[in-house]
Amino acid sequence: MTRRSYAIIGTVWVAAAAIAVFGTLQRRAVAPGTLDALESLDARGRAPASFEGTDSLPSALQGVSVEAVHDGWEGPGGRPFLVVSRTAEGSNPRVRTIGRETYPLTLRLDGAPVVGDCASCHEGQQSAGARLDAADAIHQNIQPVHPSRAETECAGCHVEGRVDRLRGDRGQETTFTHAYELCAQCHFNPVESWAKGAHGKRLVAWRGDRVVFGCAECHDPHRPATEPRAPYAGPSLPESLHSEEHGDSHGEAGTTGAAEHGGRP
Amino acid sequence: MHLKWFILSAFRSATTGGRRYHVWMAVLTGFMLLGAYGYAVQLRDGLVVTGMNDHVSWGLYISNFTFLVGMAAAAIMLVLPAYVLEDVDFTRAVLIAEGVAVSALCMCLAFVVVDLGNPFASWHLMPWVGILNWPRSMLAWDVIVLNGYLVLNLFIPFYILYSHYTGVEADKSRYLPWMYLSVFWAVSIHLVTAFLMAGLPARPFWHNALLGPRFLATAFTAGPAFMILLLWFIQSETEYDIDPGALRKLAMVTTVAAQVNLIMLGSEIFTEFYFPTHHVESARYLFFGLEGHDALVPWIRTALFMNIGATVVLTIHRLREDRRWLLGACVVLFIAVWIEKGMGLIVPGFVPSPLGEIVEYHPTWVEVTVTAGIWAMGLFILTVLVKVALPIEMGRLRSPLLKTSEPPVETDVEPSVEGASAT
Amino acid sequence: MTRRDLTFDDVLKAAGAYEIQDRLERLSPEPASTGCGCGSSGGCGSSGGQTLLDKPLDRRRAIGTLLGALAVTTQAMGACAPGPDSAEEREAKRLAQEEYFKGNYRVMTEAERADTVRRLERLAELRGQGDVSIRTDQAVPGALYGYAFNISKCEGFRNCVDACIHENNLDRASDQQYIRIFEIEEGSSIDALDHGDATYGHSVPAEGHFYLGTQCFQCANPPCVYVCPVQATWQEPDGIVVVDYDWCIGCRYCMAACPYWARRFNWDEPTVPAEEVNPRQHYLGNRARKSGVVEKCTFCIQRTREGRQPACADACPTGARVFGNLLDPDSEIRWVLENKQVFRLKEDLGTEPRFWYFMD
Repeated sequence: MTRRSYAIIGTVWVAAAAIAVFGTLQRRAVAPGTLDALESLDARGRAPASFEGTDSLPSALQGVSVEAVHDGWEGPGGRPFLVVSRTAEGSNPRVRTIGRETYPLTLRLDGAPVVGDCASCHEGQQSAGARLDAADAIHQNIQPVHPSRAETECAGCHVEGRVDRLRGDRGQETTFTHAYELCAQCHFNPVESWAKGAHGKRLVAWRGDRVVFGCAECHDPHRPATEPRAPYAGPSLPESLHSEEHGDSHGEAGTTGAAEHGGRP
Repeated sequence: MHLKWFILSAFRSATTGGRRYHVWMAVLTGFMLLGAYGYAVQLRDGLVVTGMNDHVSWGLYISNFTFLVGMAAAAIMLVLPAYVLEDVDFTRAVLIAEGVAVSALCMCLAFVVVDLGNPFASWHLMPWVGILNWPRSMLAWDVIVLNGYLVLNLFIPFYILYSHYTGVEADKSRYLPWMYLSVFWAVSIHLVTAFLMAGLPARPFWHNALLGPRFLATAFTAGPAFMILLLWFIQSETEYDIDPGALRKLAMVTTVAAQVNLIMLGSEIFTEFYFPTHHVESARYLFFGLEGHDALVPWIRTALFMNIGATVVLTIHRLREDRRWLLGACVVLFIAVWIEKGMGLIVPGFVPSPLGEIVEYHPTWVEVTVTAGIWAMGLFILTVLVKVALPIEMGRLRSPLLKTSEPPVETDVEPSVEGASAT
Repeated sequence: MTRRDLTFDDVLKAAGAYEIQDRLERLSPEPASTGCGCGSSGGCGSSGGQTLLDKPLDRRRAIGTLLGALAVTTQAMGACAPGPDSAEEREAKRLAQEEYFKGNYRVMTEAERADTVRRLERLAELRGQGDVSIRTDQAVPGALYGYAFNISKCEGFRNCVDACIHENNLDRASDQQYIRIFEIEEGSSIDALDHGDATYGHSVPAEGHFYLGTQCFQCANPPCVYVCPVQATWQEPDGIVVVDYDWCIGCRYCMAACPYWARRFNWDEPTVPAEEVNPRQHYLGNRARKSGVVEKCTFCIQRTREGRQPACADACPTGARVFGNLLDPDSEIRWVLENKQVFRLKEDLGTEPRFWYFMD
């Protein structure tokens, strides 16, 4: 081959190398950033504990009974968190608006009694002659099946004469907001998971103050089993992927927001 | 000056012909217009008018693209013997092969463009004004190698034809290095296209080392098969002479490639079905159907049957040397590879989806008409290129400026000067 | 000798072009000559007369006919064209034109980002979506999002699916859903999604089944990012893999590359009823997309960069979804990863998803 041939081939290789270098340089200019902004973490490596706005409690939870969890029940890293019980006056944090649609935040669909509602019938926090027999319409005909059907009686958890207190196995009394202390007597693992964040519902945000629902907001303590409900509409595929071996009934796909969806408040 | 006459002569040559020629071009134009209408509908309404969906997100367009990249790469089966091995049998046929490569590449680029959801944003691919994700994205590689190969296959034959048109021998030192480059480049375009798919761990049907070699084997099966048909047509319908040795050797190439392809197919089937795992669901879908979904099964079985049959025919010397058997086998092989490498490769990669859902794919009229339109466009380009190249190569079409040895009229143009220096 | 200019005809005659034409035409015989090329003995359908194809047509007449046809067609099309656009349509077109030329979001300056946000907000208003606010919040410093999904707790209600649709302005016409909930028979392998059914419509939870949800896992080693030919998708510093919808060319290579079927394509123009549009939007998140581009779950980038949880985590009534900052050693997600038995889907592919599954 002539010298010119070599020159041409050499030029092609040089051009290819130039493109390679150029391509790499170009990539670096728009390479994704790295996690080099760690100086915003505080000394313990936690993200800033504040939301946008001034208060640590967003408006949705204003007027709601929010109390710090008792000692010994802190969350991961020993960080205390806040437990919510709803009050009659406050806005209803049981639902949340996402986009322009409203969704229930809790598992139980019945009306869980709100803390403080009792005062409307029972004057003050004590009631003279209160008896622990709740099979009447005012108390929603509670037929407890929990902890067991055989021998459940109201006095197992409720305190005679004090409508705002619960009593545990060791005789300790606690408020409804801190009912988890009672639940933990038998359900220690779920309550520990709840305290650490692997169980239950974090309400407000992923950073800053941790606000969670108490146990009774999701689980009806008298009848805790989850009631089956109809799901929101699933995907509509171009072609049904149902095969003979599954054999389920295919609900109407493609309709969102149908009236019969469970979970609507 | 010669260039202007070259273009004019080429235009005249391409628009001149007998009745069959004009009917052929009119039919192709008709399909192209149909395809243009289909694409207009697609541009207006979005890709929802195709049969593709979130599960099977590539369909007929990319299937044809994959097949045609192989056709383009197959040009090296003539370039290599003609220029590198200097086998004189092929010199008359190699320009036609490059014409096939150009038209196949135009079809490939067209299929990619019609498959894009946002084609007007294609400028984002350009390295300076946009961003080309090279070297990480295999699609970026594909853009570079396909366009580069198109440039190579446009300019080398153009240089040779233009030299002949202006009455000079093409200077070997000028085009031979590019020819060597195009040999490697041809292999690379098809390997890059194979790596595009083979590099995806999400798709176990493609994620194997055999995909690249399999692509090359099928390319060298279908490409030379088409070349045989085209060269036979040119041989019988025009006065252009093609050495029978070229056809014989091409037939041998096709045969060996088809045999290798069958061996690879056998290897694939064994590996998948000897001890089937979860990863071979796509192959099961293709060959046997999956949970009642078996739209592709008749296609692939037909393709297999045709493939094996044609390979056997070609293997038998006596049959391969018989012109009718050879041509028949080439047609059958071409169709079989088109099925196997097109829909038989792309669609099963998406069935079942990575989450195990099975959604099938059925192309719509839009896809079919656009595909037909692009094939017609490719055949149109091929016809034009061959129609221009043949007269030049036969020595009948030369620059008119060469003939002005005597000055019949005094004009301001200086053709005699150029004509004298060109000779 | 009289001077006259060389004409094209002269030159071609000298070059023998007409001889070539004659010879080529002789190769495919014309009907005017004795043997008919089509093989039928009775002539080509018209005995004696010349059909349209046989009429001689010289170059001048051909060009004249074509130009005449072109002129007539243009006139006819002009007559059928719609009337002039209204002021709003003109403004929308001008804004769309300016939008067309913008670059990749990552290389935009602050001013360019402000410009494009202004244009997009105005375009949304012109298209009847009301007053939207498109933010361009950067990643929260020191945050790297992780997600954990409790298989024991999921009951298949699909509140998350519905909330996602409404939060992210997903196309209603095609039932676009980023999240998939699979109902799997108990006794199957935990990750046996292919034995699962995502289209159930019966009351849940169904006896003898458990539920598992998928969405984009925002992998730390995302195959989709590597394969995009124009770098329209990339990983942000907080771990979210985002798509610049206006930079995407719609090749769908990323959809082929995702091992978790997490990416969606807009086959048609996405439509959301005006009264359901979520106006709190982010440029890389739930702003209005267009036909022909890819989109995906972004861990609700418009929410998480403001400190809120993704819509799915917020909407889940069972608390099956745990979201948090992986870099915070005291976060719940870290506690789950350290104290529960977690697994990820397709671990062997090395994609390093930031979405774990666990059980009570």
